[in-house]
Amino acid sequence: MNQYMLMFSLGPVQPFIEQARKTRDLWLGSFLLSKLMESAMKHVKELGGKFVFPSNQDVKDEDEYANLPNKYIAIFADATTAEKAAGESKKEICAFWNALRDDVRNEIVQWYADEETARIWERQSDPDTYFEIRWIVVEGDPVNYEEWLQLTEEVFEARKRLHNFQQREEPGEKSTISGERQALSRASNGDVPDRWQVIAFWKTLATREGHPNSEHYRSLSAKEISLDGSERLDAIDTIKRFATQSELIGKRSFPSTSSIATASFVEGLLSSKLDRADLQAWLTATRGSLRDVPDAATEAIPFLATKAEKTRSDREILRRDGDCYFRATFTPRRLEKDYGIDKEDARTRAKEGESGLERLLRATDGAGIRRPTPYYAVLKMDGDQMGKLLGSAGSFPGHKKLSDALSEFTRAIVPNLVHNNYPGRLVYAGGDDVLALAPLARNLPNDSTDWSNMIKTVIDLAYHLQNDYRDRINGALEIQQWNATASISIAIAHHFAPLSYVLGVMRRAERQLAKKRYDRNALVVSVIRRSGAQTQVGCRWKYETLQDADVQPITLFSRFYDFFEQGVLSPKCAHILLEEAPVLVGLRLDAQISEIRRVILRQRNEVKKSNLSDKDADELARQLAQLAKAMDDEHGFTNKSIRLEDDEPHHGLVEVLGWLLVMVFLTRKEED
Amino acid sequence: MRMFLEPTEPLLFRTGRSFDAGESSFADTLFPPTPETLQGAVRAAIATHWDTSKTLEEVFLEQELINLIGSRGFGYGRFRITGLALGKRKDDKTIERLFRPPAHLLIIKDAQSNEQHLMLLKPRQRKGVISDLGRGANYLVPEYEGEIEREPFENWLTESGLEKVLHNDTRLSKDEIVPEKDIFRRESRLGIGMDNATKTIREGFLYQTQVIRMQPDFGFVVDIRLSKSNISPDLPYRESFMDDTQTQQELKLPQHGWIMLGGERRTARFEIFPSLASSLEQVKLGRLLYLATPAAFDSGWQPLPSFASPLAAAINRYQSIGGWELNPSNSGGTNKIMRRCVPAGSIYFFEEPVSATQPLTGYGMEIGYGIIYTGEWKQ
Repeated sequence: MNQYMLMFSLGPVQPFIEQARKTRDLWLGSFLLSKLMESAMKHVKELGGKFVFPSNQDVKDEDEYANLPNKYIAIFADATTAEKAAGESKKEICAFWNALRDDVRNEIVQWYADEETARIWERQSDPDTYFEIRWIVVEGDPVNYEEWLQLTEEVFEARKRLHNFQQREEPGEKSTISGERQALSRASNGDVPDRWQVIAFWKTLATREGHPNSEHYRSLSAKEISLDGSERLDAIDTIKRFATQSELIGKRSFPSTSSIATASFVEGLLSSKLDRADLQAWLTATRGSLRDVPDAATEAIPFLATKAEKTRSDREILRRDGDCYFRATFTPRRLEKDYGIDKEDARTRAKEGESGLERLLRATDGAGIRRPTPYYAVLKMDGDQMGKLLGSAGSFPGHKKLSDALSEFTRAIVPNLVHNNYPGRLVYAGGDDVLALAPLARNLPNDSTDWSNMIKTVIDLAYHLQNDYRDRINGALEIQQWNATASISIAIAHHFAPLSYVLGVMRRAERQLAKKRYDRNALVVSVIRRSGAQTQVGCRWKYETLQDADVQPITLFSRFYDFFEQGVLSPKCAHILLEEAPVLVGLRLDAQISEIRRVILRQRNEVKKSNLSDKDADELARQLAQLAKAMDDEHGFTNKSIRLEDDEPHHGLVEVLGWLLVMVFLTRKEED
Repeated sequence: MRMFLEPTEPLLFRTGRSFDAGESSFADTLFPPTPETLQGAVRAAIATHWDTSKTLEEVFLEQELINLIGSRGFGYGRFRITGLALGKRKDDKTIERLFRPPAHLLIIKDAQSNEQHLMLLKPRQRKGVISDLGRGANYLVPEYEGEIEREPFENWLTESGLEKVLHNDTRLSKDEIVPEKDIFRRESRLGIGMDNATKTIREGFLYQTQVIRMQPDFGFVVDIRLSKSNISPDLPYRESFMDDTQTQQELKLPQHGWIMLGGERRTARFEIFPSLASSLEQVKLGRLLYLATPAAFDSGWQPLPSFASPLAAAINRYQSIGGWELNPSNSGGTNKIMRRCVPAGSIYFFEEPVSATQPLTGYGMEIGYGIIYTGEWKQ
């Protein structure tokens, strides 16, 4: 007997998540979508629906990352109930959103709002016009499940080809985050330019100057929103930024880009036995508003929270933002603007902070901990060809089994890797997608001995993620007619780089390079330097023509990372070879090997010669050339560039040498 | 009259986000520029060349000019943009226009043979399907035999390529497809604010902009017409234009000149060409409408109520378009209203033939919004 498959999705995903200035906006955007989907799925089972995907329909609150996809699939006995379930889902989404937006408005905006503010708020945050809710119900025979699912997927894709929308005109000053909706403000006073009025409005909202209940409602912190009116938000940005003010979300914290960048340094700090006086000098210099107020801030990076002993000083370290490890923070202007320190105190505090930090860094230098890097990584993983993968499940139980495997991957395996084995932080892990922030590489004192089984770099983390995804998903496939793979895009950026720009680079690299140029099952890394210059490299996880596992890209590049990190090989090695690359690519394989070997030996640290023998150098040169050849053979690019900076497919050797440059960057031996 | 704008510097087409010194340190760029940007640049160039002995503020006091191109707060006068596209100067020095690919064009890859070909989607009703669009809706589902992979077609099309696709023909030659990387590159610029008094850098004023560097011989093509003076509002749109051979003379534009384009007043060189009779522009009946430029409708994605109701549509996510109303007397101005627009490349399918006698938009018909071309999907 025929049944009815309901496919339901909630959007817009990309703008809702990526219109973000702070990591907190990114994470809350993602988390809110998960909470909205949780509401959407609330009544599906009560209405007799059988979920096919996702396997779990609740947000795992304690892990504090978004873990529900923006789409669900359920099967119903009749079309009317399926249609009703879609209607209920939409109703629940609106109910949750309306309660949330009321909470945020009451807490943040209402006391200073006038009728114009209310009009803007309603126009922008009305769920009927803001959200893109699409659904289809397709009749089918469960006996031909594969065909039925394929048809449903195709019609759903077709439905999504029409991005229907309602008109909304947005006059006046625009939000500094979205740039497309009017910033919240009061009715215009014709005498003063719009921008000044909006700045004054946001300054008042942030400082709460003149709040009728000033005892209870103190100024918002400069970490939450700029106190000088330089952040002017629209209704959607405001709801995302202050969603934690609602009990529906609750108080939670998320690390800043600086805290992510410095997480490895902090790990080193927590693992070392520094002179207490050196640490205390820095802790004292970073007291007051430089110390994050919410106690929950110490839990923002779970790995560090676990690592921190329950001593007061360890917990105190975690209450500081990563900014406190950079000299650039300790200027009167920054302290005033970002930490709300009074103008009179700012100069003294800046001097105090600078000397406290200098003392701490001298102490960590002595312990062999590298100075903190201002660069961090954003990692996005996406399962390849999900539609085909689900189609290959063949039956309802098979599909369910795959959904269970995906759920286990995102709810157990991913957090274990990102939160327990690396000082990273998940933004989202649901369906076949993962989005995480992570420091570039570990940074432990000289006397640390437990390096062997450790995930050392963000590249290593990416490798483990895709490997575990493949193992878990392929294990769930009853018939091995499909090989599940995943592609990952990593963007490495300065902690001051605008987050929405970094996310855009990462997303474009995933789509244009990982999925298209390298044809999936690939890793792409984009290094966005402070100057704006970019280095992009990519490779497949595995090259079939290479028999020797040591020549596979991640294994080989990781070996180079170790040599650079331990000071066995000079970073110059990568630069010299890249300069020579235009000539090298035209040489025979044996000539290439010979020259690469010569450069490696020349750039070898003679003091650490025992770690890299002549024979090792020979082997490394051969392996690099072999990998380059495998890339050329398997990628099959017709027009190959000899310059790494070209936005074109590269010669295999240029790509391989570009990877060495990325490894050097991860060690931060090359100051930017 | 056709104007070809060939940039000589990297360009910045700002988004709606603020980019104020000391407050926001990053400016992203759009591409291609919106009709708002191009009309502003062209009208400013006309005013600049109108009387080179006067400032912009002074020339905008001249009624003759205001009648021709309008002015701030006084509409667009007799000025009409009838075509907006990217362009390429060919080896024979003629200009070839380039268009966004229609949204119903897909690349199909055969999973077995790995062979790629193009496919055009057609609306079809599906039995046993209900959706939020209602019962009886049409869907654009690819029709094929066997296992395929599909991806959106993202390259630009030449005029002849577009015409073929709009008439159900996917046999495009290599020359009719232009990849985006052949047209422009994105670049970063890093700068720092200076204190003019002390000639030192200002703390916290480091900024970065994303810019567009057009490849040699690529630029923007703007077709301009002037409406006849004192015409009846009932006169059909296309009949309201004066003879095109007089447009350049009326506007007092030289054959070549310079124009400021986009943010930071970057320069481009312009050259005037006669408008050629293009098959695309001819009024024809068709069951398919292609939007060559964005359109803003009061009812969102649906065309004007006076227009026929489409069977189906292929529309990418809306594009928010606003802009900055520059005050010619100083560098100040105000934000324009930002509207949600149906993006260029969108396709509407109709059961019965419709004709494209005028731009299809509820806003900005005079300045290049809603330029449409007809085609066919049946056969």
